[in-house]
Amino acid sequence: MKKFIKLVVLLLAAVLVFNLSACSGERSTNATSKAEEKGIIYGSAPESGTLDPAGISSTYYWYYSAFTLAPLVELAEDGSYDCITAESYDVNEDMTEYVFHIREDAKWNDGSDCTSKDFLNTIQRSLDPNCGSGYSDMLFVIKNAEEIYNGTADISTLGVECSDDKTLKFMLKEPCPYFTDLMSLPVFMPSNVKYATETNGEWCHNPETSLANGPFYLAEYVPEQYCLLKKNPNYVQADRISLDYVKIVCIADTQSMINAYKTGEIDIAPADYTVLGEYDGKPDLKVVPSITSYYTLLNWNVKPLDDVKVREALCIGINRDEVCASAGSDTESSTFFVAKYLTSKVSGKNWVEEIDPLFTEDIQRAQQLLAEAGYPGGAGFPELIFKYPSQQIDADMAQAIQAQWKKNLGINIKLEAQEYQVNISDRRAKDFDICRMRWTADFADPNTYLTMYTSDSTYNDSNIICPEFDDLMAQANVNTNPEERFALLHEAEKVLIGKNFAFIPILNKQNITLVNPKIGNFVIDPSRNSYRYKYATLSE
Amino acid sequence: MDDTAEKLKSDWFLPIDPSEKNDEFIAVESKSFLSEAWGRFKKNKRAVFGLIVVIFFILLAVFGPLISKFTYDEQNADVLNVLPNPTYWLGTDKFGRDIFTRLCYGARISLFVGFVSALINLIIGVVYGGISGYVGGKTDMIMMRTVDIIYAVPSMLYVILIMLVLGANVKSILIGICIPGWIGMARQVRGQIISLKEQEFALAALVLGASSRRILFKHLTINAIGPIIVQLTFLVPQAIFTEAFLSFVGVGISAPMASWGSMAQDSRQLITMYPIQLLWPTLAICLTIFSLNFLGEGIGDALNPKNR
Repeated sequence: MKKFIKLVVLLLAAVLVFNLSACSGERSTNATSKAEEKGIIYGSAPESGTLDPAGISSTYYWYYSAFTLAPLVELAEDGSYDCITAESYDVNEDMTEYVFHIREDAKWNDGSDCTSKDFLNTIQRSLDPNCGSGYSDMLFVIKNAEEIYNGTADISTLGVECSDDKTLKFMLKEPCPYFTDLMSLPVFMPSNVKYATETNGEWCHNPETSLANGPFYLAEYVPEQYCLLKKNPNYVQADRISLDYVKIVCIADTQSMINAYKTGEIDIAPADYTVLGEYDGKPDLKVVPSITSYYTLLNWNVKPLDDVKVREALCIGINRDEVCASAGSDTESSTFFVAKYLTSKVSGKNWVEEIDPLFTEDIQRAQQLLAEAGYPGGAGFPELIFKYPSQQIDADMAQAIQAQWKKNLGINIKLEAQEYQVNISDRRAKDFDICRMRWTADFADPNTYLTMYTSDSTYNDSNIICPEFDDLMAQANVNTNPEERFALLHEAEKVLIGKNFAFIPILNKQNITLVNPKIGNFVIDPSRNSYRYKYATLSE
Repeated sequence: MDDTAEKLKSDWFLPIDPSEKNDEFIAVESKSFLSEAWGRFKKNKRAVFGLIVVIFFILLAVFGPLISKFTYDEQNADVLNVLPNPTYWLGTDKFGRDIFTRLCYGARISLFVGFVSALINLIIGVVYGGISGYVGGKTDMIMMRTVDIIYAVPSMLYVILIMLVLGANVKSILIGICIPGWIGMARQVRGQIISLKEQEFALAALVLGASSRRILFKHLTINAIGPIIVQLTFLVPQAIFTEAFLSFVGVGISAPMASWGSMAQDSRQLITMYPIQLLWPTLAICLTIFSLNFLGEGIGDALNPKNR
């Protein structure tokens, strides 16, 4: 009996500890039976969207599309643009017209021609407000796109022309020097006109109809478990592919992901800081500064957050290094909104190297500001609610920030952990006092961050109204001189954060990945600061 | 008559020996039902162990925070993730908070949720099941089908939905646990009442003119007390586990308040680096739940008249 009880206790502890997240990363049976086939197994968070480039996208989509869909052009590691599906492209003098010439031999994996209409297909479907794509607004630089999305213009007026099957012409509403950067976004990927008619439809999970123009094609798809991608002989640069297959398996939880990597179940595992000690100095460990910014939104419509003194006090009254110590050793404090390690295509320098900090932490000054605003020592400050999704890093940050405000400023904040989707919908509905926010650059340009908080932006969830910032952004958007444009963007960020303290930058996070040392020839994707594995090789 | 009297002769009867005078006396002290049950309970080692552990955790919950020098939310960046030492008896977590203090507050929440929800379930379950069983007929039919409907929805769903509406706090966890929690109790009580109400003592009470309420609560329910208490002792660990689970998945007690579940969740990520941080809350949860189950089993055996 005693032994039995011991066993039960152990079992119970094990269940609690590992939370039995539905991990299902069995090695493909093909991999062992066909020993001559070379492939890699990639761990991913489970799919929370679809595989339709015009639809709801998730991390899973990004991993999938990196292997299966080939953009017109793509940013190379050295900052130049690689033409992939396009042969060449022309830009007019004032950067308002872009013409892409698609390669004659660009084909889908079933052998049919990959045409300009396939690219147009995704764009048109993404302009339906019901598509669920988070990237629709990236199309708004195209003439009439925003009007079509809002239902005030007809789809036929869209500023995209397909004069023939291999020519795609974009007419923009204003100069856009970073337009080619956008080409790797989902909304600019092709989707086959013949099959991809229904947005988020069944076609995108069916190997028969989910066609690929990229290095691999979808061979097998099991929902919530895995998808198997095989080498696409019709790919325009098929000679660069060395792998025979790529398998993407779903693993819900980071600790399970790391365990799966250790047991050899997967070859590539997105991990977190808990592996830094164990894998220190080993070739498996790959650390890249991420271009993800974590910051805290303050709702300008909620008193007393409408007072710039209060916002400044909250901003400089935090010791960010202490927050980072609790949030994990893969985080680094930041006083910028734009991610510190976003590389400028103009100077080749990181964002942080080009400018002084936007503010300095100073608890005494914060206390003084708070007193000036009418809350000496935090007395009388209303109990605001801090909403955040119940994920580890967000929970850690929220608890650390709350404790610091309490200790440094005497302010009591109530924490409210929410289910992820609930948090997003509350934020989008502007129903919060204080809310955590995270932004990962979608393309390597500071615009991806800064345009979110102009007064008229759909992403401006915290009711920021800052005419000086709007003005600087408008100037930057029409300026075609890269140096001047970057200077204006730096200035705009300074006004937004350093002067108006519109929200509170907290930290940047690193991307930590465990990669099987047998895998070689993978390169940094500078548009997302992650790795590209499509041309990876496998040594014996 | 007279003949018979004559037949009884005086020599038939003899005075007994004085030594046998006290043979009719009951030498064993007469015992009440409860003291007899206590006697049986004491012999059950597992049950006594359970009782001791539960009392230990109750003491910890009540007095632990008083003897600790720290508060549950006091962060200290200088002492992140330290191991157990004389200052921090169980070490600190990644915010530099004292784990012992947090464990005590966790015990408060767990035991509070456990006992209060059991009490609420007891009251609702006994009244509902009692009425349903005693009245019977159509009323019973309707009341029990209502129970079936409530029971058809997974209990976790109620909890999560209520948390969404009322926010993450002890109150909504309690409501969430109690909505489906009383059903087992109600069914148990109904079954007991149905069999008891057919017995003679119930009939006697009825004949003597006792009101229905008096018969139900003074006669029938009292006689079903054994199974009710056993059911009650199993409700407590169930509620504690639900609370720990909810806090573990991040929708329970709101931070920075400590709960065993949220402590386990916070330290889970660090399992490879500081496994000891995960050990404490899991140990507390396991010990409490096992002890309460042992205790329940022990009480059930002790109260069962067949074990006499």
